[in-house]
Amino acid sequence: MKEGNNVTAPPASIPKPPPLPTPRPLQRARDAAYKFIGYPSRPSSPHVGVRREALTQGVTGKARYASLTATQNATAIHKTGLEINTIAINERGTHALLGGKEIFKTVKIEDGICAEEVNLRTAIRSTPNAASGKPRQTYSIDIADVAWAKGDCGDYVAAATSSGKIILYDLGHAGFPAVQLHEHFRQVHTVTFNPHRSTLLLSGSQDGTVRLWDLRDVRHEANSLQSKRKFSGQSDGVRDVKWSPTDGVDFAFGTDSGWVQRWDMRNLKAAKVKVPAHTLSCNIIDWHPDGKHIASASSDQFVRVWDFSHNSKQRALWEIKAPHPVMNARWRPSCESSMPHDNGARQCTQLVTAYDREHPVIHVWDLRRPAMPFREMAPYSSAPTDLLWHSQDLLWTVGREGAFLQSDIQHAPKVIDKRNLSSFAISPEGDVKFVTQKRKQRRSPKHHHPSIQTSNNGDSLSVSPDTILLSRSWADDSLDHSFLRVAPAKRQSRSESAAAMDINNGGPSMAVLPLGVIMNNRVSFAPQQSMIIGRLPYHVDPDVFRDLARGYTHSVKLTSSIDDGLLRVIEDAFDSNTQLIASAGLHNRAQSVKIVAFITLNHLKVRAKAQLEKKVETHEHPRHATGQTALSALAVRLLAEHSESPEPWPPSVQPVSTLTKQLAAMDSTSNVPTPLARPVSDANLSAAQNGAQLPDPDNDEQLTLPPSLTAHVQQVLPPEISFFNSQLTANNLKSLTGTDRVDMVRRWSIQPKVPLSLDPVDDKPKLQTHDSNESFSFMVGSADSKDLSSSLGSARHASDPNLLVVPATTVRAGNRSANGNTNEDVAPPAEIVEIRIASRGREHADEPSSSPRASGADESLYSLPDEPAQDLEEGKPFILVELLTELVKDALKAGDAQTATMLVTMIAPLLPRTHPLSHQEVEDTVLTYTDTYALMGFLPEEIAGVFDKHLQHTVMAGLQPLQIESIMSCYHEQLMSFRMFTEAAYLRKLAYPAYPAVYEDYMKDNTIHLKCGRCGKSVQNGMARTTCEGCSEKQASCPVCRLNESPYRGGMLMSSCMLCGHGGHAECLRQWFEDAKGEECPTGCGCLCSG
Amino acid sequence: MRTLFSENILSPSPTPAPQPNPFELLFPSSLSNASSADSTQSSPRQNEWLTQHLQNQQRAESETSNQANHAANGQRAPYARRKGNPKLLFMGLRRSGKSSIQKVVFQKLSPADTLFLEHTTRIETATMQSFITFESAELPHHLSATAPDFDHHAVFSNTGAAIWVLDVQDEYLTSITEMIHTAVFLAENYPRVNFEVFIHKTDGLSEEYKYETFREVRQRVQDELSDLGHGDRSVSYFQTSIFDHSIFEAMSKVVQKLLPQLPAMEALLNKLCSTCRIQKAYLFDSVSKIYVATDASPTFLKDYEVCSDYVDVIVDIKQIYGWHSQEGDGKAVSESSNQDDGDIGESMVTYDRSGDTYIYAREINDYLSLICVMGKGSSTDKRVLIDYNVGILHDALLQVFKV
Repeated sequence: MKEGNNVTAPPASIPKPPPLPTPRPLQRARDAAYKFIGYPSRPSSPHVGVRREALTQGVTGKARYASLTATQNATAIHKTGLEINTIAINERGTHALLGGKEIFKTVKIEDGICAEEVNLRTAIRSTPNAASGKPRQTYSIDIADVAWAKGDCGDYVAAATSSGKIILYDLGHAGFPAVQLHEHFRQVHTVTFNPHRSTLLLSGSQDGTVRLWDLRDVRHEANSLQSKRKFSGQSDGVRDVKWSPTDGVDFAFGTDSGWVQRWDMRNLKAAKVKVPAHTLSCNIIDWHPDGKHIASASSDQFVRVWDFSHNSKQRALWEIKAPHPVMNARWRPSCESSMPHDNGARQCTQLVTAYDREHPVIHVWDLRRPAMPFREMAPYSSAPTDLLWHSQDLLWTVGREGAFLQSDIQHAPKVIDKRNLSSFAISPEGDVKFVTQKRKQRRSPKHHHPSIQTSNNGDSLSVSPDTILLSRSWADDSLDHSFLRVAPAKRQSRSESAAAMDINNGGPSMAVLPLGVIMNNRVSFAPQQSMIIGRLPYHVDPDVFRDLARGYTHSVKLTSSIDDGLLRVIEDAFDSNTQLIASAGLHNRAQSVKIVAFITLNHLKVRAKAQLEKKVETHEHPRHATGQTALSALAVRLLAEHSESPEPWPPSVQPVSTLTKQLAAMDSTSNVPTPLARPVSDANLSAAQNGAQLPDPDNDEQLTLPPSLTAHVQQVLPPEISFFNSQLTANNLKSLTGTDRVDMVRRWSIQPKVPLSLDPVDDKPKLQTHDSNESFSFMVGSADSKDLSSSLGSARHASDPNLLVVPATTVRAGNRSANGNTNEDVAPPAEIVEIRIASRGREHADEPSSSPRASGADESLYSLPDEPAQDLEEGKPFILVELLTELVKDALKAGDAQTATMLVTMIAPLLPRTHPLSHQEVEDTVLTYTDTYALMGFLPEEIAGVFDKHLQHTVMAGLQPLQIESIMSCYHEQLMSFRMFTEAAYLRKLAYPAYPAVYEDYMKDNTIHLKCGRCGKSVQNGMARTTCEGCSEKQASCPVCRLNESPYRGGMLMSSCMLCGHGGHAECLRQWFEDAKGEECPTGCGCLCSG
Repeated sequence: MRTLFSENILSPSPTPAPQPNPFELLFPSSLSNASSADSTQSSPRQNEWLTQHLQNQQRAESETSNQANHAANGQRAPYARRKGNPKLLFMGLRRSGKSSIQKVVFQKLSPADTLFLEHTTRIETATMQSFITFESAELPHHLSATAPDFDHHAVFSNTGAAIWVLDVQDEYLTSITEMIHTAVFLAENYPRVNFEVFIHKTDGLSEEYKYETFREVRQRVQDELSDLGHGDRSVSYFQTSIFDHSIFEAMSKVVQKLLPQLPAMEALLNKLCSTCRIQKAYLFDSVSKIYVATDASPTFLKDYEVCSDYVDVIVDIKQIYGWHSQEGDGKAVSESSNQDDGDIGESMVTYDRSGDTYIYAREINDYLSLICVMGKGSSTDKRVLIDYNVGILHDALLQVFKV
């Protein structure tokens, strides 16, 4: 009977097809009899007729298990409960041989029913005598591998044991080992029979040898069979041996060290081909049915396919990167190619892999799409110990759980079905890429095989859609359109397939196409996917965004009173922004900004006029707005409520309890001298609180003690007045900004706050100066110079989010000296030192207090002073706040956080405090912010300070701070994604400390690196070495003294100019600028550093 | 298997049997002290004679001195001693890492400190006395092994394995050429010397690059050797680095090939594994962290790392509480079961929450311990079975070594 007939016949109507085992009714009874009698009456001879039919199927390419209908699931299971190590199949595919430590039997599989046939183990055990009549030795065999002979030796099975013995059994005489082959002296890993001459047996062992045995000798010399050949020369164990499927004398094996070798059994000297295939042990090899290629799988998680037909230096032709160490791999039996011009030749591109013990999954891969498994299943809870293909669709596996399983691979889920077939990604620049693929709902048969068309499983029968999906094709089932597709997709005409069938029927042209032909000559195997790439709609043009981000003016320097200078500054800022927008071609936006600017300026002018009038009227007694809620008071009240509540509260905010405790804490944790906590006399303190005393810019090293928490509530209001009273001059403003900057630097990274407290016992002010030795140790050998100074200079426009903004130093030093400050401690160096210390978690410098509240006088930085009582906008067509809100809303609609941020940061400080938010809203907002700040570790007085300085104005002006915060953080994110770190850093600076969402993530883990002035790279090893790794340039020495240490005290502390980037010893520079009255940079670069 | 022995040596003369109390003086002090003291103690003399060899002086003289040395050392015949101890010879180009390997493996130098090692100018030897006495020597590059004026016999006749160290981060083509010369020389003159190649300093290389160079070196050497007619000669290759466990694993495999008892031990371990459902069993030389045998299942570096770290812990604790078990059984999770001898050292540690998989350690003797990675299904209620089987293995091993 020819195979074509089997195939074409409708399964339902035809009787049992030939490849099925013929029922042997007496077999079972006979087996049972063996068990009891222990010796069969006659050896069961192989059924000649059946084998002949089996042979017509071809040796290598077994056809599909023909009784399988298109939708039948042939899954079958046989549970033994004993750990099974290995499995073998007989030639006809009807029986499986299972081997393990406590199991050794054959199982018959028929129509999804598994039944035990010969239990060799029981037979052996029940046989008390050996064949020679001597008492049988009792030993347990631990079977590592089994093999079932083919052809006329079909009753012989071989079992390899861990002790190094190979035991041959005749299934007919199940009780007796036919022969024991004992030449390997270490574990035998594998045995295999030659498929062409079934008497030849190969065994591979841990001892590094492969031995060839000939079973024909068994008959003559029982029990003492010598190996015919020994192939040695391996220094390590042989893990797997396989005969070539096409060449009867060739075989290949893989070794523990990753070699794969092909040998000719007639040549004992050396291997034909020897390839170092893997770095780790090669666990299994398998010949491709074409006889040329070998797949090797290894613990190094690769499956590689090699061409073993020639001996030349080579790389793997194809490889599959498996997810786990591969312990087992087998080519799937070949199937008909669905390509019309192959004329039904067979092809094989798929293999199955199983992994190490912890990974129970089994994958079927297709080499044509090696990046992803084709199908996947996990039949056991641990990995299968052995597997083999029964036929094209049926996979036999055995596992440690003791189950033999026949699984139908067609029913294993496809991996691609679990995957998303579409995916998209957006680049930070606004490009979007989108890839998608059509998922096939129904799998129509690709190969229009007659059997499918004539099948009864047509539409007339009610079949669930599930089974329709599974309509079996005799051809290449990997070519389903979602996984792989032949492009150009060619419709197969009926005639073509009929022609193919003709050839198929006409002759036994079952040749397997060489793998290379399939893989190399058809580039067209690829999933068909569509891709879209383009600009995201509503996304800003990256160039425009960059340009605007770079150019925008976000804030102007505010003064306390509105004068012409301020107005001009504001006008200029608006003008430049407008021009920038216009130059970007956004005339619409430019126009609206222009209008806002105009209205703002008008408003400011009106306000200035009103202010002037008012000043004349009530110069001496500024009236405090009675209706105005002080947010800080509210916040403090909320805080107090919180601390009373049993809820745990961050320790940093806990009310100041005992001074001694804090002092103790300070001593115990600080390893850095803390020179700044200078006590202030009580008189001083009360004076400051009464607001009678103006902040003294020259005296600002003095620490204003933050009021204690309990006293705070009553004392909130008076300082409020003093803010409005304080007359700031341009002169002290500058130093105050400096103060504030220091403050910011210090706060830039969150650190445990040291409670600043006054020691009441110690009356004497702690005039402890900064211990320079301590701090200098940070700078030792570091900062000689140009390199350092340029690094600081660039740090000013921090181009990296991690980079700290270091304030100008030399300039300030000059200022201070001009102010007649004769303090010993030079501020600039201390600032640098302080940063270093801050990174250690504690910090203090000889600058004034870090409490925002203490330096309340610089509030004008953040908002324009205003008299809330008087609404100057009455009767105006536009109310500025509303205008701003609408504009922001409009900008946000277009997703334009950039413009919104610009508008908010520009205008918000200028708004009048005449349209406060509703009371409820204010309370909610304050609550939110209080919580956030408290969680961030702000002290209560600092929180109050933040409210006073930043949020008070915003809320009073009628803007929702939460909205501003979200706008700014959105813009910040955009800036970061565009890698505009300088602008982002600037934005963070604007947001600090009121809007934590903007800066929060970037405040942590800041590190400072020096930047090499020559190559521009950061000096990674910090200040430990004085050379740059990038260009190995040495740091320049101090331009004044050229010495390692400054001749004028001060040690090695360095300072640098932010303008020219040159620097030197702080003391040397001081000498240069102060005493020697140097105007220019001491290096002679022409920079007016002190100017 | 390729050893220096005829197969019958297996039973009659056991090997490196540690004498009753050879290390009592050494081990109570620090371990590193012990081995370094040992090496300093032995190296002058050995260097002396090796250098003498190099200068082509009479060999007999040194032989006698050597013999005297052994006679003093123990009851074994000098010949047996030379054969019995795995002797390794490191070769390779300048700065390829020979001394580092030697120092790290045998003298427990911290890998980071190997940076400061000086060039080696003469044959340096080191020994490590443990369960097995390892002897290693280093052949500096300028003393070419193939040079005619070189006393090959002195160096190679008692060498078990010649290890060529190849610096993969350097230009390795010259090294390969030299290696092939040496390998051919050895194959022709001393065919019983195992030739091993350490492809060294693989740390810090990408996987891809590692694989490529590994493959390249192996293929190249293989091709050259077959062209020279020694294609059947087996050369083993190992990727090593002193900064991880790979060097120890490679050394283990090298040493194992020199042990005649290996098949016996392996068979025992195989049996144990299959009976007790052990995933992987190692017999560790406790001091050197080299495993002298393992079962035949596929090895994973991961398993070895875990086990070797565990051995480290045990050894460290032993250092604290005394090397001899009578002085206190200070194990991490110690469950000392009082069997016949009463002083069985045994401990286990689990590393996942279910407790299903754990590591089981059992001392065979002071310097040999069995470390098993237990698989699923060998939970603690099977302990009786495990203990019994391990007890049997214990006895069998002692029989094998005839201690």
